[in-house]
Amino acid sequence: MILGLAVIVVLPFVVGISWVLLVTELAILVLYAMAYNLTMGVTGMLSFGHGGLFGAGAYILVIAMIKGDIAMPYALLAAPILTALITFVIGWLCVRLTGIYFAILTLAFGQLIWATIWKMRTITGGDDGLTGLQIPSVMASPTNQYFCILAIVMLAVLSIKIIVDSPFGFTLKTIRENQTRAQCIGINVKRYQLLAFTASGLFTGLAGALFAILMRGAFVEFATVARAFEPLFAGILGGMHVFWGPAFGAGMLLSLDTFIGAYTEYWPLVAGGTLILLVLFLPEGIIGRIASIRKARAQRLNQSSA
Amino acid sequence: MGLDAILFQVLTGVGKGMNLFLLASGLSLIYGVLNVVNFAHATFYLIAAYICYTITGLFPNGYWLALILAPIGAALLGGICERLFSRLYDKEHYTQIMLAWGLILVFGDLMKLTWGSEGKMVPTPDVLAGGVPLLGGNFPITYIFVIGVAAAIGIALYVVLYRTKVGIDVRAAAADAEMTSALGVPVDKLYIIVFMVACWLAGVGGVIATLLSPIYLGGDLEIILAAFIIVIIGGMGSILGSLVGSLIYGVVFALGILVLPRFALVFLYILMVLVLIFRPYGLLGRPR
Repeated sequence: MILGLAVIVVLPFVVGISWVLLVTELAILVLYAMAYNLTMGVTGMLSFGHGGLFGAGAYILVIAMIKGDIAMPYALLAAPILTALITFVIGWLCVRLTGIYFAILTLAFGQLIWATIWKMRTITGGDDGLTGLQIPSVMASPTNQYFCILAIVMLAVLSIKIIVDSPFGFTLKTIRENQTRAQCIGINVKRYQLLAFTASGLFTGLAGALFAILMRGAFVEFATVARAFEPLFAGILGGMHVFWGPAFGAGMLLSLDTFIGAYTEYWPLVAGGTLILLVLFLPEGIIGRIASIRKARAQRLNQSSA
Repeated sequence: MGLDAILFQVLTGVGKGMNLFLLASGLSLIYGVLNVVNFAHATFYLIAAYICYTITGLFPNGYWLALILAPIGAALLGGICERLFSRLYDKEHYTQIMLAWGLILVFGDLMKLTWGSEGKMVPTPDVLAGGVPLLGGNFPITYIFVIGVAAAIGIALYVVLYRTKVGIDVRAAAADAEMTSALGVPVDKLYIIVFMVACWLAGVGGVIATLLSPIYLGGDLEIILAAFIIVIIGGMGSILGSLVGSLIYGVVFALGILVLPRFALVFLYILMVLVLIFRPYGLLGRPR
């Protein structure tokens, strides 16, 4: 833990700027993947709408700063809160449905957000996006930006950790494991699902806003279906039922994208192939697999000592 | 704008809708019988369209050959993919969707490798060129052809499903696979056949779609979303539902373009959201 912190603090002074930017991007993707996992991994709700929410967070920040002349700290506060409000409304309509129907309704809302961004040219700039975001000079250098964004991401991930480990988090996992049973022990399933979805939207909006800061603008690609698949991919890669699984998956995803992308333009081929193999042969994810091997070993040790 | 122009636009919408019906009915069939959400369905459509492009480039009158061969190619590819999906039949839907997403990425890149990233046009066969005077406009023959082919296939699908032994088996497997299997029906083989037929339908859809619009990479994602909207509105697992959904989709889109050109698609998303909220299993679907 302390070692990790030390690495994070020292890193920008030993590596080049491109690495600093890459790690900053990684931090944002980690937050996005973990935010998404609050719905998918923790509560067991499959959502395809998070691309739209990510885009919403980014656009709210950029529109507030460029069109509304609002200072960055306030815009950065407004983006996740407004995204959470949007998520709440969407969630309120979606939690009536379950399984694949829930997923498709979230997909529809995600697409609705994407279409709105795409078509409302006067406000969002349409497919040109909104560029020229002015960052306060304190944060303008890549190193300072790195520290600010990493600090925010760590705070957010800590909050997610607290949520997941709280009684509330355990209730969510109960719902994931068995909805009927959860209902029978008196849990208001729909309400908890709505709360989990909203919390997930809050952090997704934050991730989107941070990404807009990193990219100095917002683009309609931020809100596509492909963007919605990213955190799900990260979760499957790392393992969505272990806390750090999606973070690890996000790291793998970004490094695959960056390093294989540098060798060949056919990176989707590699990504798709990896995904197919993972889903077929390692459905619990890499970190998930390691966790279950450890658990099995611990159980064996227990049995032999008893 | 006169009534004629609006009716003309409705007819165009019917053409587009019937084209999509070929895709949506397969998607619906796979969901209804195999309980698989084939997110990659439109990829077979796009592959068939590209094969059609290649065949028409090789032979002067290749379109008719392509109409026969390309869907068969899509069906064979579908048969291979079914073997992958079969490992996930008893798993959660998201695993199937991720597998499909992997297939979309892989096939997308393979198509890019084979056919390059610029858009492709398939020349319209002479027989189908031109139009017929209708409602004060010139209605393209290609649209009439598309509506005819889709309608003929739709009727054939209906006859097979409701008037033959195989159709009874398929519907029985959709209702209760275990019991059907116990009665001696080879359900595994039935699943392969259904998947391949659905991919064949998508292939036909792709080949006739080349008459209406150019082929381009990433077109499969757009089309699959359209097909999802259709099966959700019509009802997942219902063939008649996907016909109704397709017609609604085509007409609403065509009229939406007249009213608010930039928001035509938004109307459809709103329609889908309303259907999901008030009748989640679709207009003609049954709750399961």
